[in-house]
Amino acid sequence: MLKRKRAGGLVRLSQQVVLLLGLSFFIFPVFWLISSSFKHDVDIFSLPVKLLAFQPTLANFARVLETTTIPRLALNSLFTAGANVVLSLLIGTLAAYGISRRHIRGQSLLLWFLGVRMFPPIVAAVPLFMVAAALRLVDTGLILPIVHLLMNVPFTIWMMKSFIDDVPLEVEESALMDGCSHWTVLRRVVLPLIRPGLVATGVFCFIFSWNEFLLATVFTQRVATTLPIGISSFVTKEQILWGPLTASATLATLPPMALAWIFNRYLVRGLTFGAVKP
Amino acid sequence: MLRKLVGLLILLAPGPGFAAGQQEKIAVADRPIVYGGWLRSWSGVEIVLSTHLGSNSDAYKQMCLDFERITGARVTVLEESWTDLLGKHLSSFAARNGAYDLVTFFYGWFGHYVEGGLLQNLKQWFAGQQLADPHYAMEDFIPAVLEVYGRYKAGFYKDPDALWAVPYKFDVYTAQYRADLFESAGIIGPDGRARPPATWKELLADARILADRFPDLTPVVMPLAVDDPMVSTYLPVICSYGGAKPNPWYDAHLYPRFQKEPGVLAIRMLKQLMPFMPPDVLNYDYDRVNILMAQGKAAYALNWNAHLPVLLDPSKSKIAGTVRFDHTPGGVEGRPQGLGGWSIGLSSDSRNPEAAFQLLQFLTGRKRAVELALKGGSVARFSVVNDQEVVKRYPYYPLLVEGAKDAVARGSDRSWTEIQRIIGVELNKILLGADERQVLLETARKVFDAAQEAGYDPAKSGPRP
Amino acid sequence: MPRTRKTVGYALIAPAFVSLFLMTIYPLAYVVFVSLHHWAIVPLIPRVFVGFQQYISLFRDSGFYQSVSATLVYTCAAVAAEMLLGFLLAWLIAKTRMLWIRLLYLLPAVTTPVVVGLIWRFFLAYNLGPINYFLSSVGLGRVNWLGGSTAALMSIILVDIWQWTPFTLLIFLSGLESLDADPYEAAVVDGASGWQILRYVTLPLLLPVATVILLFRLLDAFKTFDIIYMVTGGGPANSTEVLSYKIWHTAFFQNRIGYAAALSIVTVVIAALLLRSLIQVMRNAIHGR
Repeated sequence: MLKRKRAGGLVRLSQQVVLLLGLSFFIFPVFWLISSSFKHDVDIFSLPVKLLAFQPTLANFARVLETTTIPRLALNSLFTAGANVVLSLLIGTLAAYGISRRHIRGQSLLLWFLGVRMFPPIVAAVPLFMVAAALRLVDTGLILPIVHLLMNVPFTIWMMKSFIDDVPLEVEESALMDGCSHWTVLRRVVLPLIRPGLVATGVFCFIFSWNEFLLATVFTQRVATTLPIGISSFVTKEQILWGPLTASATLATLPPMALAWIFNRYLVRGLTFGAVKP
Repeated sequence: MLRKLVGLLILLAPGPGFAAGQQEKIAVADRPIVYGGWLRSWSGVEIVLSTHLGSNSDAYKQMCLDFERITGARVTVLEESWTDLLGKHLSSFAARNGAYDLVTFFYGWFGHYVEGGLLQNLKQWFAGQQLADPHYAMEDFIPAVLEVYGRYKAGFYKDPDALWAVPYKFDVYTAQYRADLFESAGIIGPDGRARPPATWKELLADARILADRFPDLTPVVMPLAVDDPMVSTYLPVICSYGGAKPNPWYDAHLYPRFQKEPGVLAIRMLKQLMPFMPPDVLNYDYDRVNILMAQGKAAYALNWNAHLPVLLDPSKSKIAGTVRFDHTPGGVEGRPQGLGGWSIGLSSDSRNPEAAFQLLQFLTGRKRAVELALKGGSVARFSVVNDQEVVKRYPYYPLLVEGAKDAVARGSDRSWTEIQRIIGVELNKILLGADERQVLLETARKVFDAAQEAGYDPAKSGPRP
Repeated sequence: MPRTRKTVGYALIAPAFVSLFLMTIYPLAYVVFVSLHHWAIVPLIPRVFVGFQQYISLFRDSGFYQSVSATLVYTCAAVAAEMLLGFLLAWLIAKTRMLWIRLLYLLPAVTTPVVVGLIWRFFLAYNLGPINYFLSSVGLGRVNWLGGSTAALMSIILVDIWQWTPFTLLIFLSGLESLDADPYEAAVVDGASGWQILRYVTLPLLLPVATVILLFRLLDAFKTFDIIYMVTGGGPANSTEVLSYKIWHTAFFQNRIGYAAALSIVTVVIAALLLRSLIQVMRNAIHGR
């Protein structure tokens, strides 16, 4: 708990004003995006910006949902991000547990995992594409959950390692003494303790995978294409189709926001638990 | 050892035969003719057309549906952002993925497709009896356009007869101006109506008048963003100042020539026009130019004709009634017009080339050309340009044919995409204030090196500039 | 016991290690190999072994240095601003207890990056953009956000700040929320001012979390692609052509995989150096306290 001296009303007010000003900077563009998705084409560029005072229409949403592949792409994205989160958490948490508890050249491994994250994805794209094509994985549902591991597993390992570091060793030792197997200890003792961390990491992995663009354009063609690709296809050679673009982008913010809202409590507590240690 | 290992890994990639084997092949002769005396039944066959979303796409998609209905084939139209197409076609072909039957591409990418072996020579296909459309009317295409969009003469392929592709989207650089603004600023011809500038000098003078008369408006706007837009805008200017036609950039050996006097004069002219354009015009691509025009904020603009239907559509444009069209201005050496555009070709790893070839003819043949144009497509056929209804709806069509007579183009060899980037970057630098002669000379050196590195031989024409 | 511990440990790490190793080592070997050739994506175009020539021409290319400096400026400026702003906002939220506000602050982070780029290109437009409209209607002049070299770089940094400050904010906030009360009480007893508490108590306690955020944000900002791709395309001239954009253009637009590979190797080396010095900072921060 942050302990502070009783601030004067004026100071507090000014702080709140700063916060709200900051907030307006950060959400105004998103607000514009959402309101534009309900506009007719002619209203989108009008100045001053019409945030609320315009003739609203659902035509953009109807067009996106009925005549484009966006709904199917949304399912693809959900599957991709969901499967990737499950895989990343599984693989990453095991590795983090191993590094945290077994001290196997932990430092250099950690650095190596960080190095993977540093690798520009565009570098890996061409050779990986050759391999994926040889294995007939290009444009299948499997490929994106797998290649997104490149960015999410290192993140998971770093996050989860710091969470696991905070679990007192004695808890595990005593369970081991009682004759539990390593697996049981991990599942019954450690996992429940780090659940908030798992949730927080999972939400961020979901957002990363949900929004990923570069690898998705390279590794999918039509069956497994994801939302960011579909949204960017409204940027046509001749014009940007702002109506469907804003409508589909608005729809695309819903799942991550819903996730963040559902796990709101976990999100903050989870991060707290992991990132700051004595 | 590493080389071997990598080679092995690449060799291990199974060829298209692996997957294609699943489909049972029926001999072409056994497929009954179902339409027009040439279109055969393709039930059970899937064709994949890779293209970008644009003004043509809706019309083409509808025609693909017609093709499905008539022949029983299944046509998948993959629309992607046009900037991703080249990379996707190349990597998919390299991985022998066999994903595309028909590919569409900008002619400036031609070298990558032809030298890379991505395309089949259509000449044999059109000469064949079993699949060709007898009423296709190749001669109906504007010859100069077919030459640029269909044949490839740079680089390693010197077969002048080979036809690698046919026009998919016809694009000519045009000028758009606001008749109302020109008239009220007194820029009028002898007939009392708005007079668009015929030369770049006139444009500069008109820009001054417009700037004085309408201080709140942008007198002139052109696509000058780095790369493609910058180079496309520069093209008609340099050629009207005496740059070589049709290719002012370099000669047959890719020896640069844009750094000479015409090039210097041309970029100087653009530099003089800069104060009359938006301050951030170096961020303007075609779309931004079009929006500024459509919003009624500019008096004069240059753009590809494929963008013009938007300006004529009252639901998207505030100037639908007042916009007029003209050729891009000229200079001492006439009034050459820049040619852009997209071609469609038959992929050499197509799994169903026979059906794909018939679809290609169905989409680009004479019979549906007018219909395609009326739906907003851009077609390089005389039959379309001479059609009253088309010209009534899209009044700029005659300009396009006229312009194609004295058309100038960008490069199409394999190093063009690199060279275009180099030139675009350096021209931008000049517009930001660098010395034109010096920078152009350095650019010519870079282009020389790039051509050499790509395997061409500019040294045949002369020493490094 | 130690032996089993080790075996179990290796078994635990194996899936992560094997999957990441397979996905990076082959590409890396391929990239090194290709960088020594003139190499096009498609095999029909002759591939010529040229040794280190591409590296040499790379170091002779003034555009390369431009890209390196743009990347470094972009990365450092964006991340520094995100850290400061994120901390400030998190601190204010913690102080005013306006916790409900944090979900709203998350909105930019969940917006598809491609769309973020498009929105901001429109927002920053000189003539039609809402920002300039706002500035001129309150009596300030219009700003040429995207037309000049420096301005364009600053503008895309602004976009990066907009998109990623929520991320740093959220993590800082959780850090602040979890701080132990004892040091504060001690400081208050000692009569420290608000500023002194912030400087000598809060900031040092937050240092570990700050370094973790710094690490991940730096790596991600170093790789930024979408924003550049959508807002400036590397222009005007090559003022915003960061390394990842240059690599993409060289590989997929110019079909010069060999040169792109050489660029990639150099990029990875630069990133590795950056990372090394950072790790050092982080170690000092954690062990030095």
